[in-house]
Amino acid sequence: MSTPTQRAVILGGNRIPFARSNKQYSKASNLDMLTSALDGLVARFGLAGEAIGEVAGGAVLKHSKDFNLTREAVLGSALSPTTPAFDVGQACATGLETVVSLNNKINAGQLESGIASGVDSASDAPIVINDSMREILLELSRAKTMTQRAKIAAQIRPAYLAPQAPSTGEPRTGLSMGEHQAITTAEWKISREAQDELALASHQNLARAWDEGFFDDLVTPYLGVSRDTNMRADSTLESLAKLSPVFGRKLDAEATMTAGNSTPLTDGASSVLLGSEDWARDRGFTPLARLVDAEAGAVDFVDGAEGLLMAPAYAVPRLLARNGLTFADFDVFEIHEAFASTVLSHLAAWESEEFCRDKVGLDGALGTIDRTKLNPLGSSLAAGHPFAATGGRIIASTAKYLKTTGKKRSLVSICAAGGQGLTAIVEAA
Amino acid sequence: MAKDSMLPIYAKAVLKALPIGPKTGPELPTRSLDRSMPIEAEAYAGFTSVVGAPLRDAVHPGYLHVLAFPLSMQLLSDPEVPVPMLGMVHIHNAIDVLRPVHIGEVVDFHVELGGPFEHTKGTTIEVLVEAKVEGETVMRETTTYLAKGRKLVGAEAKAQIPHANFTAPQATALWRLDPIIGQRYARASGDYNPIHISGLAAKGFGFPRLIAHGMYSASRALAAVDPRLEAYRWEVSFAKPILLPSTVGFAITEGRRHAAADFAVFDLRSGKPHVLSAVTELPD
Repeated sequence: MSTPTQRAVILGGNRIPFARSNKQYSKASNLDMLTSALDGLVARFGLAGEAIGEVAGGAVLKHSKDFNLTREAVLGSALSPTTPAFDVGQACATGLETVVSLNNKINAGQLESGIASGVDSASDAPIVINDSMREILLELSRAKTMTQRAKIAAQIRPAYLAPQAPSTGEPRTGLSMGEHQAITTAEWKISREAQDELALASHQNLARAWDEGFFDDLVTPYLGVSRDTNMRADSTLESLAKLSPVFGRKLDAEATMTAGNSTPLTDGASSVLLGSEDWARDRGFTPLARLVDAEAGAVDFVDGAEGLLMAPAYAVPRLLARNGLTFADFDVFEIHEAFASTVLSHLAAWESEEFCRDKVGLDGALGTIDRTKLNPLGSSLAAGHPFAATGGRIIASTAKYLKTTGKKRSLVSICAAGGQGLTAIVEAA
Repeated sequence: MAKDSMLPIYAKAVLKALPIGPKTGPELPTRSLDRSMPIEAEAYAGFTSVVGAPLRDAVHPGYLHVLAFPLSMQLLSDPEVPVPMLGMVHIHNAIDVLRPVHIGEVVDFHVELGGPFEHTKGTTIEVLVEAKVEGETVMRETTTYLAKGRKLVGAEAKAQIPHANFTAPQATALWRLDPIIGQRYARASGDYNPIHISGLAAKGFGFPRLIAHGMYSASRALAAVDPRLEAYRWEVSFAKPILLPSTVGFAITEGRRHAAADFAVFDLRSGKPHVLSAVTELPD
């Protein structure tokens, strides 16, 4: 039996297949994809015309005109237009944070139902003008006379007209995420072979899940795409070994991160249906799982004191301690594969007595994760990683996995830009 | 945008670089200049957005340098100054922030010249700035310019700031610098020295390409460290100029952000420094 504050349950999910950027979804906007993901969920659960308690969503690469992205998606969907919505932003943890927020609101008794969602397009990305041109245009808009306008316009130089595409660079460091991870990879001495093996397992596990029909009630085809397009079921260690390193080539250590063991830029959207136990029972929905706790973390990466993507290494020990659990209590570990070496750095950190003692404050190492329990359905290396859509993909998949396998508990961990991370415990309902 | 255009002063300096005009001795004119400048939010925001500093009420000391800069150029372009202003290289800068200056305050600048001093590579001249708010000294600056290859008989001896040994660390930040940064900093600072604006002019002064303003890189580096100290000394040594466009590395080599620190901007390939800088806390 659940406690009064544990009334929220995860009921299911729907996403569109993820596609590598600038391919099948190149003309689809964040709004298009998010609306499609919601409509698929509405169709699957028969929610057309229904008012849901609240829809939470977000996108990492978001244009300012999309300030109300999720509400706009609701208005364009088959949900009742009286369904409120709000946007969330926590970089790659956005999707998981939408689940956590709505879960907590349901537990607090504020909502009976909610849809957590996320979307990202690396293809239809917002392009901005450079700062000089932007300053001049803003000054122009403030000018009152023609003479003032002419004087301001005369400052425009051809070079100011070049547009700027968004980059995956950290604002404070100018290093791309891959360049940051390359430093961490070298510090933890993660080998090329270990990274390629993890990437291969991701593709094989995802392909098996697709072949077994696992995603049949979690994914709705979109624009002619019916499976995640980044998936390479026929990948081999040999083919992965042939790829040239793309990150860390300027470091002293050997460069080991390739396009094969790093996630590609991806387009996609996902959604998760949550409800109170009563709401679910009234509608005849079977609870799959419940999110019992979550813990966010952040590290000081700006001066290089810690790796950009290492926050989950700190958040997970706190989450386990609060819940009185150890790794042995988990049947599944869903660790988002930003890069294969990110996952391996986290595993190495938890196995390191020095790290856990000196940096986390534990008595000794946190422990070793049984690799057969790691990302059993594949993860972002194979599926791709449309930033804000990844949390929804993981939560819906792991909730269903617990339900269908009879397993009990899953640990979810997602690293994010800005030195952040969000982790959660999901238990079978 | 800065209201003072330095163009007339540079034009005067170009004329002075020609081999005509009055002969000069080793003495500097003893004249000083005074000016009161209010710190205006709008103009200050132009500076912060270029150097990547947060726009808050306490003003980045690099902006006080900018406000005093027209006065120092006026003094240096005086025909009585025995070395030509154009071609002088800014090699060192030291600012003592005695207390933070805030937007809305009116700063009284007093600027005079120091030197000329002997230097192994020529002759240096110092610009000495004192900034006061309502009679209280809030900032003191010494800007050192080197006239390369110019030896002046009668120049004073002065201990040179030694070259610090520098081994490039792992860059914790990359700065991708477009050529436009020269124009943007010129707009924000009023320093339209042509070597930062025109590739041709830069070539004329022996640089293969445009070079970034030294105080741009120095101010951006300080903004990255963002010292949260009441009173501190900010020292900068300029080594190799940054050619535009380029991507350079930044790292704190000692200390940490928001506190006292040594930090550097350096060439990613050669590891050679562009800017070596330090923030040390001053006693209250």
